[in-house]
Amino acid sequence: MKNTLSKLFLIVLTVLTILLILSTFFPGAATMPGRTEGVNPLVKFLHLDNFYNSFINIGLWGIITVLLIVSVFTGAVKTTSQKIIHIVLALIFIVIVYEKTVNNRFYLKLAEGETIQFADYTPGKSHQDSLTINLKKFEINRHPGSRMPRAFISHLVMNESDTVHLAVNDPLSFRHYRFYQNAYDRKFTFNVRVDQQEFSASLPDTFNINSSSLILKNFDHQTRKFVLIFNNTKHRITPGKTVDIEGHQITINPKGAKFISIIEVAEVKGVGILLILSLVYLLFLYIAFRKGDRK
Amino acid sequence: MSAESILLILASIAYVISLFLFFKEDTEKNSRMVFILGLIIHFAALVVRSVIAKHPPFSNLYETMILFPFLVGSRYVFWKKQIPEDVRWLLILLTIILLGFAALLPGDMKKAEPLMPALNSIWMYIHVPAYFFGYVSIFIAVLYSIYLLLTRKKLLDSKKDHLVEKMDREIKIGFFFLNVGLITGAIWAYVSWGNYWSWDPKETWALINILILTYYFHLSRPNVVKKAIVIIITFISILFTYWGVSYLLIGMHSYT
Repeated sequence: MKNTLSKLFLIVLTVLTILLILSTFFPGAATMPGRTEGVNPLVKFLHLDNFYNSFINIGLWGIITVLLIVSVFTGAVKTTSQKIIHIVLALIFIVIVYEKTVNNRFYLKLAEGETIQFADYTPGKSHQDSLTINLKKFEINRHPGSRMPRAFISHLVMNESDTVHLAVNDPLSFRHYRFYQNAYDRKFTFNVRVDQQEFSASLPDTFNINSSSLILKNFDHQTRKFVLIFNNTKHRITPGKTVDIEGHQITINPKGAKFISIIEVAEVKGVGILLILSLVYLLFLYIAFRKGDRK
Repeated sequence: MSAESILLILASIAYVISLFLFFKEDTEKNSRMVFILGLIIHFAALVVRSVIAKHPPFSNLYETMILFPFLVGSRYVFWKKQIPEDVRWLLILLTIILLGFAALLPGDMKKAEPLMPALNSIWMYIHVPAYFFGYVSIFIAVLYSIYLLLTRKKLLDSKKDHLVEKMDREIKIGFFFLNVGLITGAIWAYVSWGNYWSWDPKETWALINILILTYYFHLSRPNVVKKAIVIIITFISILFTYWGVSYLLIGMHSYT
């Protein structure tokens, strides 16, 4: 029985290892633009381009988990520390599947000065997740004498009262959510003057002026001009230059740039258990190896 | 030429002289003294590097390639009695070769850079050294495995058993620290990115190394040849994890 279990385990382990190796060479091939056809049939069959979420990957880990448990109860594993290692590893895999299935992960994009309702982004949109978040300022600290960033910090105001700081490697907790400083972007703003009226705009933006429609579409980097659609007619305008469009004097000037903080939010149910199980695994691995040395 | 480069060159010269003395003289004493001198100079180079970069030398490929031979050399100096005399010269040679590889890296890869925000964490000082302790042990196990494969028919059984016991111990140390590295890496990823496992190529290959090494503990009727083959395959996998992933596959660990 022990030999059969061991051989089965090694076969499954071999298949899993080979597929994992191959999968690292096919990152999302089927989802690349223009690559919906022409993907190697074997790659598609084995789901190598999306292996980690495939039933093959989950199935193989499931078989390993079952074998880990069965090996303990059939006496294939002899010592207490080895039995604990096998059971703990099986529990780790089960908790990982649970955590990955149950927990959600999503992104918040906040421009400086912008306020959002957190509940609008949560999966259940529950009133219990009621929280307003305002990005007061986004800061990039650089190493002295270098352009290399040292820290990205979002200065957030929660519920219009509490000011908190969110930085890389320094997450925030709220109920069963954790907020992580993931990345940042920049949003450029412009001053649009139409006759005597002034508007603050970003790209793209839309204005209604009396009965006319003005859409600030984008900035053409080749011609170095703004692309503007006025009453369904496209125009190109040089920054800072006043042009006459259908009797209106229009000027567009760059105003400045605002940072956009990209915050990743993750639910954290079950993660604490995973940490404890991992530490127990390491402890009993150490004990098993030390006992083996003493023999 | 920087002070760090000068010190590394001096350390390399000392290691080469040490290797020469190992074979030339009857006792290991002088060879070891020169090697220790080289190790001290090597340590000074690492300190200089740390002062200039304002962080310990394990944030990129070049820094880990000058740190690794230092750790290998330290094993030879501080744990000499655990390493049989027949293979000690291999450790000296390995130290020289690894420093040579580091010297061959392009100049722009050797430039000292401050840490980017993602690396600015206490976990870097736990996760990276854990892996390096593991890699050093597996490196030494590889030396044993190659030596045993080449000489197993000539060796006395008692000597062979002694070497296999040493090899087993190195693999246990290596396996333990690979697991510590994986788990601390997952904790760090959770703290930084909110996701302890995202099937990043580096993460996946770190797991693959552990899966391959798991064979070692589950071999039926294990013998020297089977064990040696598993160790060598693990070693090739580790080489790919260390170098291949950074250059051939793109992921969050691309800076390493």
